[in-house]
Amino acid sequence: MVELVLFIIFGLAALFGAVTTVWARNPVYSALGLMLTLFSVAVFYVSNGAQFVAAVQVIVYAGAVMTLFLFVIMLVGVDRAEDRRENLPVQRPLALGLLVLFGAGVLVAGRFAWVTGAEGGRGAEGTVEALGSELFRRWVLPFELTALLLIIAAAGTVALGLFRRGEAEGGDEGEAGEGEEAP
Amino acid sequence: MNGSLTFLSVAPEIALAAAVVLLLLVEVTFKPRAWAWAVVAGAGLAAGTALSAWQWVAHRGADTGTFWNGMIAVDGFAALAGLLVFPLAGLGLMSAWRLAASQGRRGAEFIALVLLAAAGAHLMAAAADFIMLFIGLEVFSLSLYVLAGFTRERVDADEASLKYFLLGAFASAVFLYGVALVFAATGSTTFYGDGGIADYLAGTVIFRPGVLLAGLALLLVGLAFKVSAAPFHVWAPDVYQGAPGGVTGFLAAAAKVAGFAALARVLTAVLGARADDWVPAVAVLAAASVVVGTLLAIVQDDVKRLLAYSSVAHAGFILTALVAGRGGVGDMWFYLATYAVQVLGAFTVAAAVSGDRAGRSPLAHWAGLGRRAPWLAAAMTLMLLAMAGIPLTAGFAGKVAVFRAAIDAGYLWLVIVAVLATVAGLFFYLRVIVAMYLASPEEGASLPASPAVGWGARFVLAVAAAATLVFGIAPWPLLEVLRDALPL
Amino acid sequence: MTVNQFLILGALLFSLGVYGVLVRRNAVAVLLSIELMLAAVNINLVAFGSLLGDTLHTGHIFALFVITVAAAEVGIGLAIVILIFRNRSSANVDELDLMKW
Repeated sequence: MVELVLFIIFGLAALFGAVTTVWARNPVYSALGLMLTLFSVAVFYVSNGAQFVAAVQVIVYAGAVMTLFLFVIMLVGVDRAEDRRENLPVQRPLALGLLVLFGAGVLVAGRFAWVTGAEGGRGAEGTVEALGSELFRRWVLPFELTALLLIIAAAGTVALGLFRRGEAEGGDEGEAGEGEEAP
Repeated sequence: MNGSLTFLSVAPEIALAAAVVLLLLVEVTFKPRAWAWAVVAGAGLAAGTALSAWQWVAHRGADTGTFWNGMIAVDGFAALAGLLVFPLAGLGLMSAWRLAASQGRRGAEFIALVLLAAAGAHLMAAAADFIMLFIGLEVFSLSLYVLAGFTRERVDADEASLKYFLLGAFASAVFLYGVALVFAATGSTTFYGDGGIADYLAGTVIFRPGVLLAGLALLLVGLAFKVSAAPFHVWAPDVYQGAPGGVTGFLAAAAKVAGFAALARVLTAVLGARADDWVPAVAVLAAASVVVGTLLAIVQDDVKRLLAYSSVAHAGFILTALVAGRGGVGDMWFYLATYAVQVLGAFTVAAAVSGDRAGRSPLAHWAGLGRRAPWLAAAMTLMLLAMAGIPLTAGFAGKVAVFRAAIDAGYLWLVIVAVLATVAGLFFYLRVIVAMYLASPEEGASLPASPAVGWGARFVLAVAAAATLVFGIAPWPLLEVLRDALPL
Repeated sequence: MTVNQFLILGALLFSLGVYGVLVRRNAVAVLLSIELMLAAVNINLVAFGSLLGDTLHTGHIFALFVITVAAAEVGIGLAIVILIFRNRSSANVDELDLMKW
């Protein structure tokens, strides 16, 4: 009973946040809406026994990543509300139709059992110890390979963003970037 | 499964990662000349190729297995992907060398990203678990997003990068949703072994396969985005046209190889038991790609956009091999390998004609190339004829192979559509050739400076031409060898 | 307590994210919609994992990897957005009309 009440409260909050994310004209509201969704989703993680994932979601995702988003939104400016006129007039109704169709399909599918896989024992609790020992035993190779991703993220952002002093500037269109912004 | 073999199973990735780290560290510490980059990158790629060759010799056919708790597979399929992707990355670097060297200190990052993309591509082919496949896919895609926007001062390059990124991230999310549904339906993300997906699907009758089918469909959509199969091809023309000229060849070739390697393993080996469900979907995708790619290529006025739409059509031809399931994998590899070399060669010529950094390559740039640069024009002609499927080129042999595979699988209608599209495709390939040899540059048209070809690009073109002719005249030895390149 | 409610919620969030990707014009907002889709995937993974009772924690671990990869992806994506903003002082996807969309 408590779980059902919690689900209704946070489910509505998550949906409200999601609608805000896709609907708000101001990107700041979008980011805050997504943050609300992420927090509510973290509650569901806990109720499914995934405490560690919930903690990571709140700290890394809702905390660090969304802060990064807000920084960038502030940097690129929030003063201009988004222009809602469409170049392709059919795009929006089409997307809305797709949304309704998908939602209906989900509601129909929701009446059946989704999970057909082989059931294991009782769901194990996702505590730090349990996840840690699995992460470093069974999943150690993908865990190590995320290092490659971090190298790409670092080298890629440097390649795109860092304008070093004395670097050859100027593309073929003769349009030079702002080369003096080197930190 | 002994310990040393466990590490040898990921040795190509270790070699490339070591080269990347060395490159970046040496770069910030000693600021060496550009040739030092070439040495490090060449050593990394050569080591990766050699280790893949060893895997091919020792573990093709019978002696295959998965390592790291079923995370990565060592089999002919993965080894061949390495043998293809690492030399392609080397050729791509040679073709892009002038671009990399002109980027000042950023050149090291450029080379590092190409090496990482190659490692990601091999991981996609060797992954034996959806988590591994996802990480390989992201390693590969993220590197290419950055490479597509590398000439950041040019406004159409950053636009290409953004479009590639947004659509690619969208496709990744769709792919992930599909993986989640397949996980729900089968209770596992691991491909092989006890309790793996292949095992579960082979041994269990699922009474309500709705979730499994939905997951399969979303998986297919996500990977179709990566290989630019219609109707999920919208990013390809813009990215091919906007990315720096030197990068496009590697981008086009590697995306096809990696995407189709992942697709072939997931469909034929993992979901092989549900072939009746996915084969019709793949056939429809193939037909749509061939038709859409060919029709839209006809109306293009920019050679790079034309090549992009032709690559959509080629994605369709390669998918045609997959309707034969496991029996078509060897034919798929033949088409994929020869096409990857051709497209790399074609974009190398395009980079020479329109400039290493430039995006656009309107047909006017190509007018009279046969007189201005006869060797470049000859190389481009050969590549275009091979893509069109003219006999005595590798393109013809590849088309025959994939068509035969599809006919054996009973998909005659698909082959008829593909043959008609091949005939229609001759038109736009010949249009470029006509422009090169028969048209003369317009009076006062601002042509780019006379095509300058570095030694790297010359080497790439020589290799591409040799491969196209040799495997076009005598394709049987390679086709026979590729029969062993099957997934576990 | 069944698991279907989480799946329906996940599917609704996912479809809202798809809608956002299709109709938003601001690149940052499109990226936020993609993050919404990933959050939906994570709900599914965790709920499936708990229903399947997998002792290997596949669902939880997968969700962790998704979060990690998403963080790297956001880093690259925002770098590209800032690059575009520097080049032309705008982050609207539709204003990028040098090439056909």
